[in-house]
Order: sequence, then structure tokens, then C-alpha cells
Amino acid sequence: MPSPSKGPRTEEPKVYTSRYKKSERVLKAFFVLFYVILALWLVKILIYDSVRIQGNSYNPRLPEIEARFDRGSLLDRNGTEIACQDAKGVRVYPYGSVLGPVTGYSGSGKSGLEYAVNQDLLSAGSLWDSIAYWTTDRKLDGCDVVTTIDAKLSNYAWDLLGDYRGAVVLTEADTGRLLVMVSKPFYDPNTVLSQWDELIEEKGNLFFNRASQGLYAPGSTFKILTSLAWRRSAAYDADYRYTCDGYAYFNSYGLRCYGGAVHGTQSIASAFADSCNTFFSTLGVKIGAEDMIAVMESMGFGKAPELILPAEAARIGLKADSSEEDVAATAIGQGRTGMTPLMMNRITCAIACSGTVHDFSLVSEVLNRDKTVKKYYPPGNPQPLMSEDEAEWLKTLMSGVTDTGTAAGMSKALGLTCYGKTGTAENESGVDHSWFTGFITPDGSAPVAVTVLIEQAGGRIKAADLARQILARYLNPSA
Amino acid sequence: MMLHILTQISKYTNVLWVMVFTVSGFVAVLKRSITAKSYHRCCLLQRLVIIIFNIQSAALILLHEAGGLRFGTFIKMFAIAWAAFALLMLSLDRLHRGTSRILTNSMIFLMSIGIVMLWRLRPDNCIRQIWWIVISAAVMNLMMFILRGRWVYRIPWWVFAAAAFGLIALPFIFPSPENGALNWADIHGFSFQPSELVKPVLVFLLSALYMRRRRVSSVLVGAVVTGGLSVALLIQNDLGMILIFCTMYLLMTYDYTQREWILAVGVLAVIVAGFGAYKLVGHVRTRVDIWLDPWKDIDGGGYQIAQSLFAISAGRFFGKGLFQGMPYYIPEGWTDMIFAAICEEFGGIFGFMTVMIYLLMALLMFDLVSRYESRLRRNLAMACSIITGVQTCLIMGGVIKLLPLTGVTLPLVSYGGTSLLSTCIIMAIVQELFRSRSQTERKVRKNEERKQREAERARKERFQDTIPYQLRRKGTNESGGQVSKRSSERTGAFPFKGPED
Repeated sequence: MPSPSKGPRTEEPKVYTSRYKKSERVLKAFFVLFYVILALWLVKILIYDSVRIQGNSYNPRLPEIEARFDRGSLLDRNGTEIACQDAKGVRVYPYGSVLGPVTGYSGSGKSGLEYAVNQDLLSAGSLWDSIAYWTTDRKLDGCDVVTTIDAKLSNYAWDLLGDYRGAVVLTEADTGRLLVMVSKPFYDPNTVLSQWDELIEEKGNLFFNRASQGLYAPGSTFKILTSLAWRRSAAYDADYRYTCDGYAYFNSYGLRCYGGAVHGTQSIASAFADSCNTFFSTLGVKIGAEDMIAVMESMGFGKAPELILPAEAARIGLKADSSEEDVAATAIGQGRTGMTPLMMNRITCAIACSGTVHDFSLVSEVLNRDKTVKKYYPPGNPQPLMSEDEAEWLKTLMSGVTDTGTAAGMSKALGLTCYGKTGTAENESGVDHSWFTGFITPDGSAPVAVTVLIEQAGGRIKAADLARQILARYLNPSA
Repeated sequence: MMLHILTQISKYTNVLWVMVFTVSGFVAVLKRSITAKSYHRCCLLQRLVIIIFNIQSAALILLHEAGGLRFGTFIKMFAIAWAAFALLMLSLDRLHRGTSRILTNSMIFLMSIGIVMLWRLRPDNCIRQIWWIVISAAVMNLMMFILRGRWVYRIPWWVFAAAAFGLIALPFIFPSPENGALNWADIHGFSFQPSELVKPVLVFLLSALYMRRRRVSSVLVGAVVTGGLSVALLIQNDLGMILIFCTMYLLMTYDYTQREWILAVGVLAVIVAGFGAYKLVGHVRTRVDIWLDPWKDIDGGGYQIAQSLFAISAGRFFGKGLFQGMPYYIPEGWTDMIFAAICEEFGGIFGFMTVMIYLLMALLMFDLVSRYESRLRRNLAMACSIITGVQTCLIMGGVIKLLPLTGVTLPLVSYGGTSLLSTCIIMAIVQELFRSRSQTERKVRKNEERKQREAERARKERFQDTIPYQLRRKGTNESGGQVSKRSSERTGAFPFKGPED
């Protein structure tokens, strides 16, 4: 084998320094940069994504972690346990179906908060526990998680709904913290896994959270948005008057005021209070589809509201080229527009808080074993939905409803000014749904927004009555 | 309990060792004014880390296997592996003086990480891998002797082209009996992946081709060869290898022509081909969709990447400790996805440092590109750096969801005999380039020294002749003293030249 080191070499040995510096530098820089990006991406996964990824219910490592911990409890805002382990280590939900949409269940699968804050429920609550986790096989206590829910109030709302299907949402308007999120009927998380097959078959869709996932025609409650669109539209006239004859026609579409009422000459304030359909559908046509859509989009339609649990986006039922009758129907909350009670509540919160709303939150803090706060879940991010003027103006309209309008006497009964809007939504079942959304600002405390939806109430039960009772209980919990 | 605590301690010490290894490697490579002595120290420190890491991991495995059936096998196999490592180190240091010790250390460290992880995941595969390490070490030595022959560098490109096509045709001639593995060949019960062996052949092919003056024809021939290989690989359903070959062709062509628009054309081709494939080929579409959002379909297509991310995030920064995680859930965790398994049990910092070791190897190889003996050798260095770099980036980026996942092995770490062998052959080329360059440099240095000495002597003689007789006798003449001092400075310890000596 000839080797360059052996034998005579005629030419002088030489080592060259690169002649082609450019491509070399480019390629070297390319690879160095790529390796650095690789390393940084790894760090990014570890810092930002790992907690979320680990908690994924498909992670085969979860059962292993679960076996090491006595799962922590879920507490309501007053410290009442709403999900806990019993003496035998079985997961128990004292409030059952009432808080089913909030807690969810925990077993071989998980849902609700059991799924969303799984990571916290299975985390060590002290330094010693963290060390013990790595060094021993001892079973450890997981951390408790404090939710924003008021269990008693939720239970009260559940009872009030009686045999009706429906949803109740009650929120601290200035922080977006949910106090009540009830959806009836709902499965009982205590028995859901043992009765899974029967529950799946059962009518009424027990796995469906009506409050955050149910899309309903908003009915007259939508007039809040029509009013806002009117105020924002170029055609806005503060002194606009319209004479209601009890009915109105838009091409082939005829509509009547609720209960056959004839309201006579109406300003927007009186029409809002009396929920005059002919007034608002005429207004809707004046505003036009495009401006209506713009208002809905600015309210966050088409985007699911931020929530730690699954939530549905409200549906815009209009197109820019929709016909006059579609616009007229939409303006009074009929047509193809769909809203969840949660979305309605969000808009109500914005009116209560000068136009700015916070994303909903359900969890406030994670507790160490010595009950000190381990981790704090801040309220959601603030989002401006409307200007302060617009919110004030809508507030005046809404006070008329509870004062002299369709929910007259409500303010009086509660003993403080109440703002609200009632609604009756026609739907394919033939029996109307009943809506109420409104808020109060108790002296010296934050405003509270409540939204009630009762399916197929048909006039036998009024959402406004329920809302009044719930608010009364909120103001005076001991009663 | 004992094992628990030891495992917990070892995961922190492991992080320390790998940091020492990487930092000393970077100091040795990047520090410009490093003396031979501290360079030597860095290399020794790295070897120390390799020894400690191996002993520590072996101790943990022994404790874990204590009393088990595989106890004896483990001791035997790891003894063989260590012997192979030691012999490889020794032969590269002594038999092939002038090879880069940092590169040798990096190779052996990566291989040790590989076999430790493999034993933990699949002892049977680990045993096979260790035999492959023995074979690869032998082949590497053999290759380095062959590559000393100057005739190797005179082989015309078309010989390599014929070899490449011959190799790639093997799976068609000797199809593997196992269904689905179209890119495997089986010759009398000995099955291997010929496309892996095409890699070193392609390195030589493109290097030899891009030495020629006729640029357009060379580029076209390169395109035809790469295209032909790609078509064959497409039939064999080896997407990862196509990507590696095409990227290599593109980057080599850019280096050959020095035209930036070639890179632009390449990027454009990737976009167009990628978009076309996305629209037309369902297989590619699912891959891209999975890459964009693996969480949508965890049970189906997103399974691999989701499991990999689960593993990486379970490990966090310091890892779960050897045998404490669940890397066996990672599909292909012993071959393509081994990086995720490493991240889970050794930790994210260890994974980070592993990336840095590959970066270190890339820097070393690029050093060969900037100081070279001939165009061909420079091309070879370039081709070797590109092919290793592209493969590493592809699979590491795939595992951490930076790129769509492509099934290629992680060089030197993943299980896979042919892959290990081909990487070792490429490393043999690189080490041979280091060896021959350092030898030439030494020769250049000696020549210079000799010339200088001769010049000095001549000057001295001239000077001696001109010094008056009286001064010569005294011997305390100032200028005479200066002359001799300067010359001793020049002929004494010669300044250290490069990191590869």
C-alpha cells in the first residue's frame, strides 16, 4: 500500500487556506445556526410546553404518576370540597350532577377540571414531599385546587330549574370568575363510569354542557347587540321614533310582537324595555347586515371564549349579502344566530364593567398541604368589547327592563338597581326557550352578571324569575 | 431504596460529566491561542468523562440487573464494547497519528450513550449493536489504511456512480423476506440496509465529480445520479434518505458553483415539491398535518411524535434517571427516536449537550474545509460535514417537532448496524483527512525549520567571518550573544499550530 509518507516526493508539501470562503461561511453558519435552534427549541419545550404536554390524558405516564399520589381535592370558593377521595380512595363528588360540568370525572379517562388541572392535583405539596417522590415509594398527598365556584349557590340554581332543562351562569363581572355554571340535565360524576353505556344512550345529552357548549337562538336578549349596532351605525339618530302596530312585514317574512301586544309610538328606550319586535327588526334593516356582522365580530362571535373547559364559539347567522328578512329576524335574535349562555354572560359582564371584560376563569389557586398558596391562577386577560359610553348607554336601556319593562319589579324586589334583558326564543321544538341576562352592582362590592336559559319554558316558567331568586340568594346567602 | 438514591445522584452527576465533556471539547476546538499542553488536558478530561460515564451507567445497570438472567451477558458484552472503544481510541491515537482526538472522543462518547440507552430499552438489540461496534471499529481502521493509498483519490467519479447504483439495486436483487422493509437486502441470511452504505460512496462521488473544470456537465451528472438514486429510494419507500441525498447534492453544488441562486432554487424546489407532495401524496400530507398539530390525532398519525414529546417533557431538565422513566412507550425509541428516550432518562440538559456534541463535530469537520491539502480532500471534508449534519438535524428536529418527522437514524447513537458502519466509514474519511493534513503540516513545518536553520547557519558563518579576531576571543560580544539567543528561540519549542495535532 503506497503511503504519502514513504518514498520520494517530488512536489513540495503544502496546506492551503480556503479559497472559497463564501460558501464555506454560509454552510458553516447554516449548520451552527440549526444546531443552536435545535437546542433552544428543546429548552422551549421544557420550559413552556412540558407541563401542558405531560397532563395530556393520552400520556401513558399519567397512571404511574397517579399511583404515587392521593389525588388532591377540588374546593369551591368557600373551601367546601366538591371533589375528594373517600376513605377507600374512591373519588367522590358531593354535589354530583350539579357541579358535573365543572368537576368532570376522573377515572381511566378524565374530563372537566379533573382533566384540566390534573397536573396540580397530582403534584407534591411540600419540599419534603418532592424529595420523597424521588427517593421513596411512599404514597403522597396531592395538592388541593381552589375553584371560583360557589357550590351552594349552584345547588340552589339547580333546584330552581326543577324539571326543566337549561343552564345558569353567574360571574363576578370585574374578574371573569365563574361562581355558577350549571347545566341541567347532566351526568353524575360519581356513577358516570359504571353506567357509561346507559348514559350515552339516554335522551337529553348528559355529556353536553349547555352553559358553554349549547348554541341557542338568543331571542330578545340579542336586542342588546342590535341596540349597540344601532348606536355604532352611521344611521344612528338618538330621537328615532317608530310606531308599532303589533306586526311588521319584511318581504315574505311577517313578525309580531310577543303576546300580540301593540306598543304604539316607541323610542329606543321604551322599545327595549317592552321588547318590541317590530321596532328592532325595522332598526336591524336600517343598520344593515354588514354593520350587524361587524358588531357581532367585535363581541367575539366565531371565536370560542377563553375557558379552561371546552367552550363553543357563538355563530354569526348573517352574511354581508343576507336578505332583508334574514336581517330583520337576526335583529330580534331569531334566524340562524346561535349563542351560548356563557357568551351572553360575557357581553353582560362588559356592560357591567364599562365595556371591558375579563376572560373567564374557574380556578383561583393551588394549595400546599399546609394550606399556603403554592400557585396562583390569575383572572383572565382583560378585553375591551365596547366603549365606556356605549356600556353606560346600554346600562340605561337595561335598567328600563327591570324597572317598567318585561321584568318590571325586579329591581324593587331585590332592593337595588338591577339591569337586564329578557328573551323568548322560538325554536324547532315549538315551545319557546326563556332567556334572561342581567347584572347588579351591590353596594361596596363588584358587579355580578347572571344569565339564565330555560329550554322549552313556554311561558310556564320565566328565566327572569329564576335570575331574581338566584341574585337574591347571592345577596343574602344565609336566607 | 439504595438504587433509588444512586439513580437520583447519578442523573445529576451525568449532567455534570456531559457538561465537562462538551465544554472541554469547545475549549479545545474554539480557543485560538491554546497551547499543546492544555489541548492535551482537554482531551484527557474528555476521556475521563467517557470512562466515568461508562462505569457509572454500568454500575446502575448491574444493580438493576442484579441476580437477573442477563447479568453475565451484560458484563461480557460491555467488556467487549469497552475493549472495542479502547482499541479504537488507541489505534486512532497511535496507529494513525494526527487524527483529531476530540472527534474520536465525541464518537466514542456518543456510542457509549447509545449502548447504555439500548441496554435499558432492548438488551437484545444492544448486544447486536455492540458486535456492530466491534465490526465498525475494525472497518474504520481498515478504511483509514486504505485511504492512505493515493490511488483511492484517483478513482474516477463514474466508478463511484456504478458502485452507488449497484448498492441501491441490491434490495431489488436480494429482497428482504420481511414484508414492508423494501430498503433492506438479504444476502444468505445476512440482512443490511444498502442505502446507508451509499452515503460514503456518494460522498466520494460528489467530491470527485466536483473537482472537474467542466461545471455545467458536472452539475448535470450530479443531478442525474442523485435523481436516479432518489427514484430507486422512492420505490423502496425511504423518504428520509432521499431528503439527505438531495440536500447534500444541493449544498455541494452550491459549494462547487458558488452561486447563491442555487440555494434559492433549492428552497423553492423544496417548497414546490413539498406543496405538490402535500396536495398529491396522502402519506406526505398526513406527515405535515401531524407536524402542524400532533395532538389532534394522538391515537393515529400523531402517535409517534406525541409519545416523543411526552417522554421529553417527562424528563424535564435533569431526567428521570436510568430505568426510572418509561421510554419504552416511544415508538422506535431504540432507533430513530432514541433522542427522546435520552431526554427522558438523562434529562433535557443532557439532550442539549448532546446537540452541542454534534455541533462540536460539525465545527471540527468544517475546520478541514478551510485548511486543506487538495481540492478533492476539501470536497470530501465538505461532503462529510454536510451528510452527517443534515442527517442529525433531520432526526433531532423531527423528534422535537421542529421539522416534520422523517425516519432516519441518529448517527452513532441509534441502533442500526449498517447505519453505524456507514457513519464510521464517513468518520474514517474525516479522520484520515485530519491525519494526512497534520502530517503534511508537520512536513511543511520541518521544511521551514530546515530552511531557517540553513539560512541561520549561513548567516552565522558569514557573520563569524566578519567579526574581528579580538572580539571573537572575548566571547562577550553583545551582538554575537543576541544572534545566538534568537536562533535558539527559533529552533526551540515550535509554537503549536492546530487543534488536530
